[in-house]
Amino acid sequence: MADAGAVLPDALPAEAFFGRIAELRRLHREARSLLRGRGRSRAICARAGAGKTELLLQWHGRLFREGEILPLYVAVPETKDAALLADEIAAQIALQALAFARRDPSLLLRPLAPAAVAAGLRPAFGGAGALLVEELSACAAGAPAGSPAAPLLIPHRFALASGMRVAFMLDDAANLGERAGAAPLPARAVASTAAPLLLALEEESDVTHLLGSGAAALATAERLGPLAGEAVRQMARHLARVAGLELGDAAVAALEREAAGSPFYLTALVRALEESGGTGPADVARAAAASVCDGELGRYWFERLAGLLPERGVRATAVEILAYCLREGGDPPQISRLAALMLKDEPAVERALAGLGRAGVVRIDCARVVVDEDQVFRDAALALYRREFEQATPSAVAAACAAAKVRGAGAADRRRALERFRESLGALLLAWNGQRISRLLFDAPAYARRRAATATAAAAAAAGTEGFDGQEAEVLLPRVISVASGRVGAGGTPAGSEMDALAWGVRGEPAAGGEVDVAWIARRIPGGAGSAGQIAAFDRQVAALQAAGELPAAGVVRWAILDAPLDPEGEREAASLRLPTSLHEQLAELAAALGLPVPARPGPQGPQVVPEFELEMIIPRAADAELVAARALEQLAENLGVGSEETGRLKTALVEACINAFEHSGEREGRVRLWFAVAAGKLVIRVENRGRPLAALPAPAAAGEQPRRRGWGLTLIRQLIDEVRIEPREDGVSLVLVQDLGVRPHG
Amino acid sequence: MASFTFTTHVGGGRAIVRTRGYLSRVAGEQLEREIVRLLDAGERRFVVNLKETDLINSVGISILIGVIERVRGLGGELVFSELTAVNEEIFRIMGLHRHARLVRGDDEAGE
Repeated sequence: MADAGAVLPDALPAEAFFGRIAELRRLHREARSLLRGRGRSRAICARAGAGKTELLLQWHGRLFREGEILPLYVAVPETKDAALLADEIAAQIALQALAFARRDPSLLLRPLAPAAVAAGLRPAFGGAGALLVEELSACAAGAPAGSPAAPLLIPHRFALASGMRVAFMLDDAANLGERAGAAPLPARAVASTAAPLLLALEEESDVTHLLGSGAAALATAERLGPLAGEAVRQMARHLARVAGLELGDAAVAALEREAAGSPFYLTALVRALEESGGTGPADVARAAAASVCDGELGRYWFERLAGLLPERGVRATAVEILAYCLREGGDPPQISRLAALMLKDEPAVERALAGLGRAGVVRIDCARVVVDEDQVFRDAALALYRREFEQATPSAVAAACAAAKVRGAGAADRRRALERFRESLGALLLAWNGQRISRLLFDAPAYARRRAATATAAAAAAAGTEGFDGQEAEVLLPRVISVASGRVGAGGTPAGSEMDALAWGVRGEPAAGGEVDVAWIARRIPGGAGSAGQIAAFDRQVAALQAAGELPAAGVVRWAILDAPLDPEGEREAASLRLPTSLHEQLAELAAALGLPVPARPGPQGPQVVPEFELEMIIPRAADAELVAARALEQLAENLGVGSEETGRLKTALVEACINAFEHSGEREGRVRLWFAVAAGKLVIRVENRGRPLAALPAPAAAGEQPRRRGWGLTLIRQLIDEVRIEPREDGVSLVLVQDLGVRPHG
Repeated sequence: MASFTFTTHVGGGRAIVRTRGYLSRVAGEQLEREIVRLLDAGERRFVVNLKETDLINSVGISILIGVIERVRGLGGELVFSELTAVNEEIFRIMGLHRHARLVRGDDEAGE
C-alpha cells in the first residue's frame, strides 16, 4: 500500500493528483475547525467529471493518514432499494471506522464479513464501538423500514459517544433524494459540529432538496470550478509520459481549452492524443498496455480509457485489445494484468478467454473463474502469466540466482534491502498467484549442477552456493487477493505482541466461516547465528494469530525471508516446520529476471517524480540550531515565490519538527538530517533523527482531550502543513512534511 | 549575534517588553526572568510586543503560558501585541488567546 495518497480503492495515487490546492487547503482549514469542535456541514457542487469525487478521496486519504479525524466516505449509488442502501451505507461506515482504528487501509480492499467487522469494532472503540455494532445490526435488519437516511445519523452518534471528530463525506448525495418518499437528510446530522456532512452534488438546488428549507441555512455550498489550466497541463503531460506517448504543445493547449469548458479531462486527453498525431485505437491500446505496468496509475488510466473507447466509436473489445497487445509483443505479465483489469464480469471473462484461445495466443487452462465485483480478476491473469513462467529459461534463472547475494551488513543496508524486498515481493505475489511450481528456484544443488555444466570457470568460482536454501519440495504459492503490509498484533490490535510481518491473501474471516483461500504470511528474519530461535518465534507468532482468529486455523503458508543465510540449527528448525525460506535479495533479482516490473523504491518524492530542487542539511543538537534550517527554508521559499505567511507556517512547522527530532534522538550528541525537495508543485521536507522508534513515542492527544502545556509540536505541525507523515525506521523516525505550493502571491 | 533580545520600557502604568528574534526555550526563559523581575518590582500590567519576533516555537510558548499564569495569579494582566499573522494563528491553536488578549498595537493594550 502506498504511503502517500488516498487509501480508498479507485483513488489516484498522490503523484497523479494535480491541482485543487486551494480546495484542499480550505478542507484543511475546515478540519482544523472540526478539531476545535466547530465543524460545519457543507456542500461541494460541480458538474459531473469536474473532480469532486477525486477531491473527496484525496482528502479522505490525508485525514486517514494524519489519524486525528475519522474520515468516512460513502458514494451513494443511483438505484438501490432503500433498505439495502441503508444497510450498505452502515456497512461502509463500520468498515472504514475499523480500518482507521487499526491504521490498516488494506482492510478497505477486503470483503470482510459483517460479523468480522462487528467483532473488531468493540475492542477498537469500546462503548462507541458497541454503538456502531448496534447501528449496523439495525440497518442490516432493515429498520427503520425504507429509509436510506437512517444510517446518516451514525457518524454523529458515534462522534458523541467516542469523543472523536468525524468527517462524513457523501458523494453523489443527490441520489438519496431520488426515491419517492425519502426524507431529507436528518437535521441533527446536518447540524452536527462533531461529525459534519460534506455533500458532493452537481447542482446547488440539490442542497435545498436534500436538507429541507429549514436546514439549508446550516450548510454552506461551494462551487467547484474546472481544474486550473496549469493543473490540466501537468496532468496531461504526466499521463502521456506514463503511457509513452508524445503530446505536443499544440495538443496540450487544445486539451487545456477543452478542459476549461468541459470536465472529464481524460476524454479530452484522448481526443487531444488523437488530434495531435493521428493517434488511433491501436495507439490507445498500446498506451493502455504500457500504462498497466505502472501500478495504480496505470490501472486508473486504463480503466478510464477502456470505458472511453466505445464512446469514441472505436470497435475495440477487450479481446481485440488484448490480442493486439500480444501481437505487438507486449510483455505477458503486463498483459495479464491488463486482462485481469478488463475482465470484471463473468460473461465477458468467458468470451474474452474463448477469444484468446481461438486466436491461439495463449493456452487457457484455468479451471475456475473467480469473480468479485470489487476485486481484480486474477485467474485470467494467472492463465496468461503461466505461459511466461513456464518459459523462463534456465539461464535467466541462473543469472538471477548468481546475482542474488546478500550485500552489506549494516542497519542502513538491511533497511534498504527490506524496502526493496517489500516492493519486489508485492510484484511477485501478484504474478505468482496460485502457481504450483516443482521447486523453489533457489535449489542450491541443482543450481550448482547447472553452473558446472555451462558456466566458465571464473563465473563458476564467483557464483558459489552462498545464500541459497535447499528446498526441493513442490510448493504451492498462494492465491493473492490483496497486497498489504503492516504490523499485525494478536487480537488485531497494534498493542500487545506485535509482529513485524507482511501478510497477504486472507479472504473472508475464518471466525465467521467465510470462504478462505490460502492464507499466506511472510516475515523478515535476520538469519545467521540463532536462526533456530528466530524460526521458532515466527512459528509461535503465527500460532498466536491463528488463536486470535486473525489467520485461518489451517492452511497458512508461512515464508521466512532472510537477511542472511540460516545457521545449521536454523536450517533444521525450518525443515522440521516445513517452512520455506528465501533471501529477499533473490526475490528482487528473480522479479527482474522474469521481466516483472519491480517498482523503484519510492523516496519522499515518489517513484515517478524527479525533484526540481534538493537540499540536504545536517544540524547538530545545539541551542537554536533549528534556526539555521529555518533561515535556509526561508530563502528557499522566497526563491519559490511563496508568500510571507505561508513561509512563516513552513518555518514554524520545521522548527517544531527539528525540536521533536532532537527530543527523541537516542544519541547523546544527536544530529538531525534534513532534506528539502521541490517536486510536482510540492515542497517536501524530511526530518530524520536516530533514536527511539515510533512505538516509543507518546501517542498524540486524542481529539477532545484537554491540550497540555507541552507536547504541542506535532499538533502544530499538522495544523500548519497540508500533509504530515511519520515514517518509522529501524534506527529512528522520519517526519515528512508535504506542502502544496501552487501559485501564491508575495505576501 | 544573539538570536533573541528584548527591551523594556516602564511607564504609564504598564511595562512594555519588546522582543526581537527567535523565541525559543532559551529566549522564553530570558523573557520569564524579566517578567518576574518586573513583578518583583511591583509591575502588574504587561505588554509583550512581538512585532520583531517572526518565529516562536511551542516550547517558548509553553513558557509564556507559565508567565501568564504567574502574572494573573498576582492579579495582573499580560497582553500580547503586534503578533504576525502566523504567530497569532499559533497562539490561537494553542489556546493562549483565552488567557491573554492579543492586540494589534500597544495602545490597544490599555483599552
